[in-house]
Amino acid sequence: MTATLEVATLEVQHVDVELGGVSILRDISFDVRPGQTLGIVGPNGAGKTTILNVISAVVPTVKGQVLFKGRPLGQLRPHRVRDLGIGRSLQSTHYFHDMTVLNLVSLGSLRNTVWGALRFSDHRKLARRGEPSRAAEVLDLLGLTHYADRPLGELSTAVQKLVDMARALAVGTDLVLLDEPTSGVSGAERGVVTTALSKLRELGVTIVLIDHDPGFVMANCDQLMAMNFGEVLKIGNPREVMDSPEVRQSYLGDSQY
Amino acid sequence: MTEQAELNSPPALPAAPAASDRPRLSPRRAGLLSPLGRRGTPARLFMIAALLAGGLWAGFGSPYINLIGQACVIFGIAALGQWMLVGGAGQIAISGGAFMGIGAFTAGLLANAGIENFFVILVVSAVVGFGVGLLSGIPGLRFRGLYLLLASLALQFIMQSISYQVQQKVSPAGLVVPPLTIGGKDFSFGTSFYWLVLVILVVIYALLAGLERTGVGVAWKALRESEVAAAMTGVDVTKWKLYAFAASGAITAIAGTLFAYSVGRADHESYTILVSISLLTMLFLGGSGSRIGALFGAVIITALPYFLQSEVSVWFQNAGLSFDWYTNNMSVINAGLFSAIFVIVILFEPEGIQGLLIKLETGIRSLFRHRSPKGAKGVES
Ligand SMILES: Nc1ncnc2c1ncn2[C@@H]1O[C@H](COP(=O)(O)OP(=O)(O)O)[C@@H](O)[C@H]1O
Ligand SMILES: [Mg+2]
Repeated sequence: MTATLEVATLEVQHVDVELGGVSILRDISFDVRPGQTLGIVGPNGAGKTTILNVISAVVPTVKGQVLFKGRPLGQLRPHRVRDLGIGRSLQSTHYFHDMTVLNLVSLGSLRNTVWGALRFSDHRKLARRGEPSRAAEVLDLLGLTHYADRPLGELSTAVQKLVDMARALAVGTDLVLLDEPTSGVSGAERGVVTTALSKLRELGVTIVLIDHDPGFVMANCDQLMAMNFGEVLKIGNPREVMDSPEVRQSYLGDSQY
Repeated sequence: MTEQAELNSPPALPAAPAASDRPRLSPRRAGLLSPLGRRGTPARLFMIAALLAGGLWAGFGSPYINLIGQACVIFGIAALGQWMLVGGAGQIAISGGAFMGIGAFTAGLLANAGIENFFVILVVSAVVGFGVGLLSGIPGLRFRGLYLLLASLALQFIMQSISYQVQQKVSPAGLVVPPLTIGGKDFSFGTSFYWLVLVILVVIYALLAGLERTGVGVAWKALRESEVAAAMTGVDVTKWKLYAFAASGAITAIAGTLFAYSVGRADHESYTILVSISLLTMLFLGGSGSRIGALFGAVIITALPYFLQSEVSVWFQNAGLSFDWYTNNMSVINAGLFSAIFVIVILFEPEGIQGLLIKLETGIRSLFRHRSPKGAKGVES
């Protein structure tokens, strides 16, 4: 093991979260190494989205810390986390329906200064001049280029999910957090999402993948973390985790409700 | 060291796959390329044409029509200022009247101090409006919805009280704003004032339209949709929200300054909560989702009282009825009328006139769609 050289991209250490006085996460620890995909499975309400909320700094921790490339994220504000190269897709497709696909995917490259924001419109021009723009490349990669000028609300859920993934990838040069990329996507169109995800993995993007469908996550990750009731049940090799008695029990137990 | 560098460099994106390899997906809503163009375009074009026609009519019509046109344009600017905040950035505030008052009183106080250069007055008003707007955005960092509305209501009353005090001290009958001159040329006479304010409106409209295409507009749009989602996407919510309040304050203050020029003085009684309510009514009546809707609403709400006064009163007289009850209680009745319009719009057509027009358009489109062969639509990529 070359442990001395290999810095994990993301380290979550003993994180506790409370929201509205209720304990949501307890002692969550895991790390994600560069180029790897960590899958997180667990029933609804297990706290999966909350973990991503902690990493993207929209939810505070009571205890523990998150290290990105060995440095604690500390008290950064959400847009500063984005600036570090952490991209995130959203579980819900209820947002940004008025915005065009290109605007949305470019949003990640928006500089939060007046001058920077005013020059933002140059994005399109960059592409026209043949200069590289990450937003345009990402759209191309995921086969979304011809949707560039369409408002998100006009597209099917599967395409909206792809756009959201593109938005995360445009920002997430170093880490991409995907929250339920297949939720709401019908069986026939799921393949499109899976294809997109494998493209990301082939590129060597570091990913945290959440989904309520254990089969989908298992097939698309290097490491798997199973959780329930805000706690980690087991973490490790996907197959072993899914086959372990405690995880099976939690899933069986759930199906009875 | 090299490994560290590798870790830091983003994964390169490979060349795009051939078009045939790309996933094929069909858009949910077909019919986007119907003979009427994109959805909503005809409605917009209709509104633009109507505003242009009205604008020319006011410029070349009778002095009375010109006077109405002036008011419509000035309130159009104020409505744009409010649109920027409410429609553009998704914040709610009921302090538009206060910001118009800030512009008017800045003009009055500067004139009182001997500064009469129009551009200086306009710029100072905009700067003061910007500054107060920035301050008024601070509650917006903590509150949303109803609480934010209440905070802005407080600002409205604070400004009313301050302007009352200032007026009592400086000039109880109202602060005099001298006739507008630019480089010795009188712009207070005939239709020249109308054309001047129209040019200012067009410039502000164009600036806002341009801004919408930049990252500033995109950040505001993201804010409007969802603050949390915007933050997670990398938008500095605090900063862009404050700028939205500030820019809105500046534009609304400019409208106030122009209004003070049009009536020749700044009087605290002209910038009450009723003005704020009518500004919001303009937005929602026209369609808060678009700038053009805000202008359309501004024209209707501003022109309505004139119409009631001149046209409807004639109808009443012809019918042998008295119309004095309206003329004697105009401001109160108007306020009630605007509030009623506001409630009706919110209840029955939250998208305003623009929404109605789009519905009409959708109806016409469905006629076209039934005639076109089925296979011709929904083909993509
Ligand atoms: N802002 C919040 N305030 C209070 N409770 C919350 C909040 N967000 C999430 N929760 C609760 O935290 C738990 C975990 O939610 P979440 O992380 O969304 O679960 P998952 O994504 O695994 O379905 C749920 O019980 C949910 O009700
Ligand atoms: Mg979730």
